[in-house]
Amino acid sequence: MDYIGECCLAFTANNINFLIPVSGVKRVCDARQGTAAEEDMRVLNFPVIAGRTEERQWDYILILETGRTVFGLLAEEILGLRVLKEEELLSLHPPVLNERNQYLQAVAKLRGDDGIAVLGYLLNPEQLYQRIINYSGSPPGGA
Amino acid sequence: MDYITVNTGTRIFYIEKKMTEAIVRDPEILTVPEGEENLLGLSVYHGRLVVYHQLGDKKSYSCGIIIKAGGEMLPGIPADTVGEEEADPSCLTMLMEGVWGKKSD
Repeated sequence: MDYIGECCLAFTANNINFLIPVSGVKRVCDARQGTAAEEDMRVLNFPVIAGRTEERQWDYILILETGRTVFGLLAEEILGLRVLKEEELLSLHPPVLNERNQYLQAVAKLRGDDGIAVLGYLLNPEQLYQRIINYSGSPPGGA
Repeated sequence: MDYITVNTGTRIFYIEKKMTEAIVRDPEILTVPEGEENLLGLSVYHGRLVVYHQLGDKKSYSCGIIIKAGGEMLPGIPADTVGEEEADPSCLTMLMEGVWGKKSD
């Protein structure tokens, strides 16, 4: 696992918990007020990707940076910071992963155990950007 | 042979008792973003991921039947109610390891 002890930003989309390494998060903005400097960056409508069927203005936009690329990720609720330990992570493989959701790096056990464990997905920022490149416009992006 | 049965309303599925790892009540199932259509979601059992496959059209569930398997992930079947039944294996067709449906269905 590459993310042993890595500090992650936890957020929700479609009531699902997600975590993204803070090393890849440039800024968190109020999506209703726009993002100022990065107006033409590409934005992933993540709540819709996570299963929301309605289109609406989401509350937050995470500005992510991978290498020299900056892009946005819409989010519903920011939960805070969480340091993930190796023993909290479970690897994902097919049939869970397919060609569209490779950005799901692992499942993190956030609390509890067995059938009642609260789980979340650790996200891979590079694969999220790849998701934009591969399927731009489907589902629609844009804040 | 003895089976645990799952009735989805339109079809009955037969799960081999000897292939059943556990039956858990009200599992917390995590939806998989952009997952395949019959993939209901994920849960955890004894430190391993359980991958719940939706059988039939019924989306509600009150328990999960976890199937024995090697590897890091265990298959699971969500169910509203479960029963027990003896059935003739020659009348059944295998849907996945340990899970069967009636040939005539």
